Formats: sequence, structure tokens, C-alpha cells
Amino acid sequence: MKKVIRNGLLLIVTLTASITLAGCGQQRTSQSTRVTVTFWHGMTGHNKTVLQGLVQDFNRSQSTYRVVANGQGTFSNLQQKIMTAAKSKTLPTIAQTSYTNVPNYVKGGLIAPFNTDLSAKELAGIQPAFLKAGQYQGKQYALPFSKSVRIMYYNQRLLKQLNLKVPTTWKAVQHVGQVAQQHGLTGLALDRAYLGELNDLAHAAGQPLVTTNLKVNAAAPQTVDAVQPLAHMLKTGTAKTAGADNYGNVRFLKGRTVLYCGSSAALGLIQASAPKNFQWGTTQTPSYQGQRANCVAGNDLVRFKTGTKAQRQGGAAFIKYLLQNRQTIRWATQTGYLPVTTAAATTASYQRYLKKHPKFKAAASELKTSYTDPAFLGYSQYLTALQTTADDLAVKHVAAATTLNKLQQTTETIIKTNQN
Amino acid sequence: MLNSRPTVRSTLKALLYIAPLLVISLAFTFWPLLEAFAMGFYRHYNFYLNQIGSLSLANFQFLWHDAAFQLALRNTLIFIIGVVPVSIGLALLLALSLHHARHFAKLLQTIYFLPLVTSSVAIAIVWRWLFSAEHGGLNGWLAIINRTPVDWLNDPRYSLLALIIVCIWHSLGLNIILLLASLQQIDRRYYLAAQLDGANSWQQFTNVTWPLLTPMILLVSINAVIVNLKVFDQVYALFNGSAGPANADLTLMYYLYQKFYVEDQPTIAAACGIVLFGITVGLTLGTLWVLRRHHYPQRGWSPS
Repeated sequence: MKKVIRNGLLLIVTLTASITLAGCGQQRTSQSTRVTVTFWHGMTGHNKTVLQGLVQDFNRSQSTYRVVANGQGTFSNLQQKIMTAAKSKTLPTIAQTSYTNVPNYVKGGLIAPFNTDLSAKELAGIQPAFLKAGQYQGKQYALPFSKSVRIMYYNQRLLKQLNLKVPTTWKAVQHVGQVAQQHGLTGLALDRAYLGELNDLAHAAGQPLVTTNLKVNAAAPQTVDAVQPLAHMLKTGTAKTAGADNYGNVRFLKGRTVLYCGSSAALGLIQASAPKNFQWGTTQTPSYQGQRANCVAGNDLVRFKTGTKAQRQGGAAFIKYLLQNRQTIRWATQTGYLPVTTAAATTASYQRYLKKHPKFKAAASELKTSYTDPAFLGYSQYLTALQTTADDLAVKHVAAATTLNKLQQTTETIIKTNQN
Repeated sequence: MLNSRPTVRSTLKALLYIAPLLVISLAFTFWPLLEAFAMGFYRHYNFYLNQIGSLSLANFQFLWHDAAFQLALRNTLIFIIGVVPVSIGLALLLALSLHHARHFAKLLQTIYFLPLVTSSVAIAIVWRWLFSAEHGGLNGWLAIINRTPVDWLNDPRYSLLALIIVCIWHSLGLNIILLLASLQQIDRRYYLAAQLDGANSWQQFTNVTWPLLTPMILLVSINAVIVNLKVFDQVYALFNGSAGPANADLTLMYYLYQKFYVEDQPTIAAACGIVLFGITVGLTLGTLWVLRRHHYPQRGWSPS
């Protein structure tokens, strides 16, 4: 009896194993004809769904490549994952990252440029500011993907209540802050890391905090003067940073703050979380002395050296696909990110979209005045130093000249140390 | 068998038994530890290519002069001083109460133990609500006693205190359970003998409970020092991925994380790790020395 049971069990196990292995074999055969391209990204929620849709459509259009997209959680999780995968040599074919990481990745011999895969004509179609950002040592190492700029959100009801117009200059923003404070309201909400606003002010004053030649202008008198209005607002409490909330939209959506300077990437989130009776609009960031400058934020795509040549070519093919008008517009209109090619930005369909969704106009109109920070070794250290300056102004209320002087010295040291 | 003398054969046999865990420990604990220790001395190091420029003490010199490191060190020490004595004192008080509680003792033990098994993120969300400047529970209590509301998480004067409060609350559970277990081990006959000698409750505590509890207090203290020196996730979760307002809650572990993952300075992070290790060893030995010197009976007693 025992023997019969044992033989029966053996038969079942053998049959199951054969069926499973046969299934695996078939699966392998059908997939082996296509080259697998792995893609790590930091998209979550709705944006992840849109991206997944793009990946699926690419895969359907392909007989050569198959992209496998893996969301790695937040952007900081993604960066940590790339760092550890680089060490263990398990990097994907392509990944979403900021172009500011390019110098570090090049130094580590991790990434391959796109120049051989994308023609000069294809590259020329990309928005100039975005394209320039991804260039390092004469090569195109990063291509734009999820790009955003800083815009200003305003509470229409409060502006009407205070009998104020939508401010277009920093002087007008200061006035809004004063009037709002008199009525027990907050004039301006900022993110905890309002580095974009500081950078934009310095740029508008003609003194980028760090130039493309790596000259530091943080302590230049024009920079100090440009930062003064914001520093004054923070000191007097007419402007408030988000602190532990991280993003100023939390304060703004409570309905007692007139203005909010934040990322255009937050548009979708604000639209989704704003109460029904909350009337709000968007406009370009304020100008300083008639000049407006808009720092481009967001993420790009890089291609790692890992994998086979065919995989790397597949990675480039997928990015080319994303850069096509149809995909660029689909990505921009469904996520709120900026269209990364000039052709897509000027298409009738994108213009129709802007007409239908006027809140997205502010970001699109800032493309004309947009700029990017230079990428250099030690950029992440510089960002930490800039955050210290932002904290000095917002939390400790240190004089602008003092903290900008400190930033000047720290940044110069960072650049010098990393060049050695 | 247990009393037999070890031989080469028996030692080899024992080694074979412990080999799997030993290999895992060597590969995943000791080797990375040595690598990290060595990395603290690397200069001009390419992390990705593993190219070492030279060996020097430059990373430690950097730490010595770095204002952020000094702030992290200061904050960590204040944090330890704020958390360890209070959490152990409170745990002892609660353990004594639970030890003498006639009703609901098990239920209360479970309630006190809950924070330890709850995720740091969930805890941080609840505490962020409690600390909220506008609608927070703590400010509600302050309003009852006519005190002005405090912006706990955004005011650098209070944010470290907020972190200390969270960590005291978080560490209570384990300390209570350990102390309670130790209290329950004390033979009742000691108390009966003390009562016969006419000792009151306080005298019973100082002459019976405290001396017999000292080994456990020693263990709990050392554990608390080590755990709190490494505080990171509570900071990260409570302040939403930052080190508090203007780095007011920057701890050594957070500094290490910042240098490694955010600023791409692995050698500085490794050097910070070595310093942290040194401080941990120093504080542990210091705690051991203080408690042994002042609380262990000189002779005639063994913590069995």
C-alpha cells in the first residue's frame, strides 16, 4: 500500500514538474526573440499609471525590444537603489534621474552617452534648456523626461476679498503679504526647500548662484539685493515656509494663504486635493527688476553601460519613442510635466489642451525664460549648502548678506575640493 | 558530556555546527564592517570603481572642522541625556506600578508594549498630528492651562524636545517589560525579611528592589544608550525626510545618511560611522563603570 502511495506521489510530482518546465520553456521561447530593456523610475500614483501605459504601447509596437519598467518608490529611494546597484553591478539599462547626477555617474564610469544613437536633428528637437542640461564634457548623457518649473498659485477668493490683483513682481508680492498680514492671513507659502525661488531671484538679477564656468555669485551685491525682498517677507512672517509639511501646498489649500510658489508638477495634486469651493489659479513666478528667470527642475533619463549592446540600443529606442510628438504630448497632458520637445510644445493639440486647461499655461509660458543649473561634481553638496541658506533665512532669520557670504565660501570650497 | 574536556575533534565538530551562521556573519556583518572601517581612511576615493587615491586621516579632519558634524554630535548628546534617564526612570515607575497592580496588569503591559511593535512611520504620523501647531493635541492641552501654542515641529527651540518626547514614549515598552521581568524574579522572602526588620516601603525599595534590579537597569541603560545613539528613523519620519527646522534635529546617524546617500561622500560617512562606533563603545563602558561603581554591592551578593 505504502509503495502504491509513494509511486502515485512520485508520478504527480513528475507530471507537475514536466508541465511547469514545459510552460517555462514556451515562455522563454516567446520572449527570447526580444531584447529586454530594464527601466527604473521614481513615478508613483497616477503618473506611474501613465508611464506604464507608454511602456505597454512601446512594447506592443515592437518586435525587437521589450521594456520592463520597475517603479522604485520615491525619487530618493530610486537614487539610493541606483547607488547600491552600481556597486553590485546590477544596474538597469536605463533609469530616471536628475541630470545633476551625470558628473558623478561619468566619474564612476556608469553611463553611456546618447550621441551615437540619436542624430543631431533628433537632439535639436529637444527644448534647448533641457538639452543643454544633459550635456557634460561635450556629450549628451541625459535626455529630459519629467520636467517642471516653479510657478505661482493664487487664491482667487482671497485676492478678491483683499481687493488685490494677481501680483507679477516681487514688489507686488511683498504688498500682498503686508495686506494679508493685516487681515490675519499669510501672504505667501513656500516649500521647505524653496531653493528654486532663491536661484530664480539671483538669476533675474543677472548673477546665477553658480555659472556654467563654475563661478560662484552667491555673495555678489546684486544677489544679496535680489534675495532681500523674500528674506524680509520671511522675517516679518508675511511669507512662511512649509517646514515639516515639506510642501507649501498644504498651507495654501487650507484657504488662509493668498499665494504659493511651488512646482508645476504639483498642479495635478493640487487639482485633486483642492476642496470643491476652493477657487484658485496659476501664473508665472514674479519678476525682479523687470527680469524673470525660471529654473528647470525634474528628472531626466540616463543609459547605463551595463547589459549588452542590444539592450543599450533598446534603451535608446525607447527614449526616442518617448521623444516623439505623440508620446511627449500624452505624457505632458496627462501628468502636467512640461513637453520636452519644441515641436510637441507648439502642436495644435498641445495648444488646444492649454486652452482647455488654463492652469497649465503658466508653466508652459515659462519655457521662454527657463534655465538650468550647471551640473558639476559636488552638486548635491552644494544643494545641501543652499538648503542651509534657505533655513538660515526662513527659520533663523539670519541677514541675507551673512548667509549668502557663507554660501559663497562653502560652494567655492565644494567646487575646489571636487575638482582635485 | 557538558563537563568533558574540549578536544580537537570536539572543537572541530562544534565549528562545523556553527559554520553556517559563522559564514553568514563573516560575509554580511564582519566583512562590510571592516570595509566600512577602511573606507573611513580613504582619500580621493572613487566609490563606483573602488579606486583608492591614498590613505589618510583627512576625513576625520573634515569631521573635526565641519559645523554640521559638530551640530549632529551636540544634538545626539543632548538627545541621549534627554531620553535615556527619563525613559528608564519612567519605565521603572510604570514597571513598579504594574508589578503591584491587582487588575488589568496584562492589558496594561500590552498597551505599554504596543509602541515598540508599531512602525516608526505610523508613530510619526500620529505624533505629527499631536504636535501640529494649529490643531495638535499637545497644543490643546497647553490651551487648557492658558499657555501659548508651540510650533513643535517647525520651531528649532522645541523640535529636539519633540523628538525626545517621541523617543521616550517609543522606548518605554521594552524597558517596562524587561524591568517587570526582573522585578518578578526578586524573591518575596527578601521583602518579608525587610518587613520583619521594620523597613518601610521606601527602605524596601532602596535596600531590596534597587540593588537586585541593578543588573537589569545596567542592561537597559546600555541598550538605551546604544539604540538612541543610532536614532534615525524617528527623525526621518517625524520631520518628513529632513533633520528638523534648520537641522535642529540633525543626529549623527542622520548626518551619516545625509553624507552617504544625499551628498555622495561615502568616505566622510564611513569616518562618521567610526566616530559613532567609538562614542558607542565609550558611552557603554562609561555607563557600565558608573553603574557598577555606584550601585553594585561590593561583595556578598550575586545577581542570580
